[in-house]
Amino acid sequence: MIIAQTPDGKKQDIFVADYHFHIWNAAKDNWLRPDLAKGWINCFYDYTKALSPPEYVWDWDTYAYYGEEKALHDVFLDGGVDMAIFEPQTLMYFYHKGFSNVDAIGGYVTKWPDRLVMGSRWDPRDGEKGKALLEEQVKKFRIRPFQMRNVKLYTAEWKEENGGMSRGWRLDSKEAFDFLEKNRELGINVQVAHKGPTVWPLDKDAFDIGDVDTAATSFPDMKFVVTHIGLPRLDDFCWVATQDKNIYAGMAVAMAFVHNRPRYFAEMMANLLYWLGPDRILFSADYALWHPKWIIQDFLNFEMPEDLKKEYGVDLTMEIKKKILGENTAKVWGIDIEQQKKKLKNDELSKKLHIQPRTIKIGEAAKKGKPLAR
Amino acid sequence: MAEIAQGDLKERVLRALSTVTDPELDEPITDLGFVKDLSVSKDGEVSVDLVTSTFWCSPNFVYMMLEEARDVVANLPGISEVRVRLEGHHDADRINAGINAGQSFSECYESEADGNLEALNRMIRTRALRSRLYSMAAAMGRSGVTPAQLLGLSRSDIAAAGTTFLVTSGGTTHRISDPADVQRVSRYLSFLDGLGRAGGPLAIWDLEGNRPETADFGSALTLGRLAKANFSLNAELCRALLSARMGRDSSS
Repeated sequence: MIIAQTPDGKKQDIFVADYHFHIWNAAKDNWLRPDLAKGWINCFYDYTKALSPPEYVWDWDTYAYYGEEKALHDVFLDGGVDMAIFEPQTLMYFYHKGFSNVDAIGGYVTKWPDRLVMGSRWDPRDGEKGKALLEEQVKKFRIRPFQMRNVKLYTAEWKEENGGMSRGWRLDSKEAFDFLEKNRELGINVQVAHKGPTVWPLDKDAFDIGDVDTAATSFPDMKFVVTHIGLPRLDDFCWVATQDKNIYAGMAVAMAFVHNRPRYFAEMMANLLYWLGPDRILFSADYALWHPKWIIQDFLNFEMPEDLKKEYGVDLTMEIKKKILGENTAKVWGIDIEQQKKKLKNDELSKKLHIQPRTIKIGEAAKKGKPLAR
Repeated sequence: MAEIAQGDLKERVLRALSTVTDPELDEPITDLGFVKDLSVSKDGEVSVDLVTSTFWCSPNFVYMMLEEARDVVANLPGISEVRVRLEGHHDADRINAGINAGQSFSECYESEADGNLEALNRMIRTRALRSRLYSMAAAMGRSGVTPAQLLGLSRSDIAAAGTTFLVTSGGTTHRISDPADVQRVSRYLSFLDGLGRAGGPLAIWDLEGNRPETADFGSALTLGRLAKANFSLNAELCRALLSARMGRDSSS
């Protein structure tokens, strides 16, 4: 829980839900194909270093595998996040036991079911076996009404298939639609779509979100969160999301611009607010890529520059920030904020870590209209 | 003498490379820091080492960029051989072999590709055109040319005058002299002229040279602005990532 304190002394509670949270294992003993496994985690590390305040960049070994205790401490105690939703990314072609798989994180969810929310994943290339596994996971992890309501759909996952290697899949394929039907049957109504650099065939644009558009139109009762707001295709994303009201802007990665690229962050927010409005933007620090402690602090202190307010006719008020930080995600996942607030005052994790509401003073660290970095 | 000539050749190679853009960012690869090393022998053998901002950049766009880099250098007079080498990329070996053997993308990737990169290239260049059109329209607006007036202009109504541009619209001449605005106009014009459409309208909306719809020009420019915002965001992220990457590579 965050308590935002404005210069006039007024305080208000802010419920924070992070839709895109990870505990990964990229330690060397988990590398199946070392070049790819190393290339993956090093790329993450570069993202972290590029956008973090330097004091939040860990040494490489800690970064590769930080474990459950550190994650809980950083996110819930230091960060002030109330609930975090797992988005697994298995990458079985790169890592022996996967990068961040459902089995590894399942135990944490059953231990802290009011804090950590289980999200699974599927891959249409897994066929009937994949569907059966999904059913099992719903039985096992639907221990709260908001648990097991989402899957992360990483379309650029490499997979051994028919003796060769397949570099990805599309969300508008018949096989993917079969899985979406299965999701509907199981009440998994949030699809977290994540584009990566490869997809079959390789001459097509891997970042094209046309397949999400098709799926969102075909399954209007479901919600589609496009993670990292469709970057590097923000323009397509805004256009598609303007038409499909069941598409949401997932702020993982995008959020981190707020600290050392505030003008770029401002332009991005102005566009999202202009095209989508304030009700379909979801906060994430994308832990452990970035630490929620500074991201939340910077975001609450962020002010939309006057020229963009005027040009786009939008603003980022405290009410809108509250929506983005938790209210929108709570709606999508069916989380009752008031009920959850009461529960989290004294849940097992609060007792274990001595979690107290985190006070953030607004207006002290505000970066007003900083010029473009370049 | 030979050294001077060689230095001059290297300069020309760099200038040629500065015309190659990263298609997803619409910025020159030389500005982005992608040219890591360049050597030119006295016999005109050129070797270009390129690096991208991440290990995972899409093979298709990387291939486009490398093909173009290879071709602009090979087309310079005095070049006997060009070797382009991509470093630190998940598919570097395959891409390097394909580029240096003169293979097309579909030859390089065979069963993993359905065809060549024309459609992808057109998609991304259309965005670049629209982004640049928006930037030019904004620059024109600051110099007193309204969007409606811009739509009525031909390519021949704008001309460079020293470090400025002169625009003739309805009998009035407007001067664009702010250096950033001059750059915006210049970037659009180089794209337009590159399409070989010197005789047509100034403002076009697609690679075929069609004009934007008059009634919808406002919303077209809004889309252009969004395309520009997207390019800027991606380019900034890539610069930040490349800088982090280079820092890591030299320290390990």
